[in-house]
Parts: sequence; C-alpha cells; structure tokens
Amino acid sequence: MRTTTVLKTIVSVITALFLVLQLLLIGSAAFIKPEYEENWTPFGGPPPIGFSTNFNISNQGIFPVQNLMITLTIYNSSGTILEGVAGPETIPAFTKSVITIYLFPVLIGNITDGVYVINAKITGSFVLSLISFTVTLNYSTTFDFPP
Amino acid sequence: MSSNETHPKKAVLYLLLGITFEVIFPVLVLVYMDEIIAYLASFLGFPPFSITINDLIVAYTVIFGVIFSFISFFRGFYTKHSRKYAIYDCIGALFALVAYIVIIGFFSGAYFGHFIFSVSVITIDINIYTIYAITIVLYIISFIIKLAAITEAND
Repeated sequence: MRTTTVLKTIVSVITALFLVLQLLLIGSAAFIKPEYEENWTPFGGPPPIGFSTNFNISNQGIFPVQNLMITLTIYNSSGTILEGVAGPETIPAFTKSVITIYLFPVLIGNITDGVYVINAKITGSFVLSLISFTVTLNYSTTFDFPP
Repeated sequence: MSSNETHPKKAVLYLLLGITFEVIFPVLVLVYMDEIIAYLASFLGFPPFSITINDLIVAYTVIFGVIFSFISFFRGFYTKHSRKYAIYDCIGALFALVAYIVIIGFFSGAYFGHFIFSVSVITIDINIYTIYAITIVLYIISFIIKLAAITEAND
C-alpha cells in the first residue's frame, strides 16, 4: 500500500472521529438546562448580611460539565443590587445538581419583596475545554424574602 | 474502464452516495425545514432550540461531515491510484475544507466559531473555537496529502 494511501486513511478516520466528537460535544452543551429556584435564606447577622438562593443545573448530555461557574445579579427599580458567584463545580452526565449562591448587597438599599430583574450567567466546559459554553438568563420576577 | 480501478461498481456507488448527501439531502432539508423542526420539537422537549436556518445548515455540515469523511475513505479504499481519481479526491478535499470554514464560520450565529441558541429567556452560546481550529487543521492536512497523492498516482 502506498504512503499517501496509508496517510489518507489515517487522516480520514481521525477527521471522522473528531467530527463525531464535535457533534456529541455540541449536542451535550445544548442540553444544559439551568432553572432558577427561589429559596431565599438569610445568612450572617442579625441583621443578615446577605441571602442565599438556589439554581438547579440539569446536565442531560453525555459528558460531565467541568468548571461550572454561576454569576447571579438581581436588582429592583429602587436601586437595590445583590450579587453572588458560585463554583467552580463539576456536574456528572445525566444528573441534576442544586447549587447554592450567596448574594451580597452591592448597593445599599432596602431588600424588600417586589419585582426584581434576575440576570444569571452560567459558564462551563467539556473535555479539556474543547468546547465551552455560556448560558444567560434575563427576566423579571417577584421575590418574597423571609421576614 | 481503466485497469487501475479494481472495484468500479463500488467506486460509482460511493460517488452516488456522495452526490446524494451533498446535493439532494440539503435541498430536501431546506424545502422541508419547517416540518423537520416541528417534528424535532414534538419529542425533544427542551432544548428543541429556536432553530434558525443557519443553525440547521451548521448542524447539517457537522453531521454529514462525518459521512463525507467515511465516503471519502471508502472511495479511496475501493479504487486504485489513477491520476483522475486522485485529482477528484483532491478537489473534494478542498471543497470540504472551504465548505467547513465558510459554513461553520459564517453561519454559526453572530460570532465566528460559536453556536447561539435562544429558548424564551435563556440564551445558550456554545464556543467551539478550539475544536473548530483543530478540525480545520485536519482538513488542511487531508488536502495536502491528497495533493501529494496526485504526483504518486499512475497516469
């Protein structure tokens, strides 16, 4: 068998396998589903220095998610801003993880019940960072903080 | 028929398969895109994606890139080294390289090497830049080897 035939065979097979891997990785990233779960818990204090809440991250792909980070910001119309970061975490394939985020006030304001804008950014990667992803959520909802 | 072609029927079969996947299927996908999306959404649930035509073309390129590679492999395997087939093979490799760069690069949303899906309030941005670069290198190596094979082929 000629040299170029052997090389062509090797490169074709590697390319095909790599494209299969690419397809599986893209598919896995598309099946990351974040769900915000309102579960306000005060911590520190009294008075509390912040509140924690939860995110459910469902990984229905076939690869574990590595270096998962969640950055969460919430704010209301009266100028109250709370921010928090969670991670890095690893989420195995076909599992759902509950991640608690601790939020601290950035601007001093009254942390009262009402309508807040929730802005979450979830980042992570698969298989030696061959593919990374960023999921963002941005919507308004009503929060009820514990007394 | 050239004496260099050991299995001409199989070579023709793989050539027809290539034409089918590269021409007929994409046309069918474009024509019946709405029906395909509705069908996928009916049983996939989340994410069923808010699939745009660009996403579909990119996904198609990746999926059928695998098939093209195997067709290319078998076509090479079942034919011997005539210069004619070597030239066709080289042109095919160049086409695959350009198609991959253009389609994945320019049709993958607003950013080069990214897939961006939106599902109600959620936006998913998948950065495939690393794997994209590696695949391009593999395609370039493949093209160079096939170019070299022309000089090695029989007349």
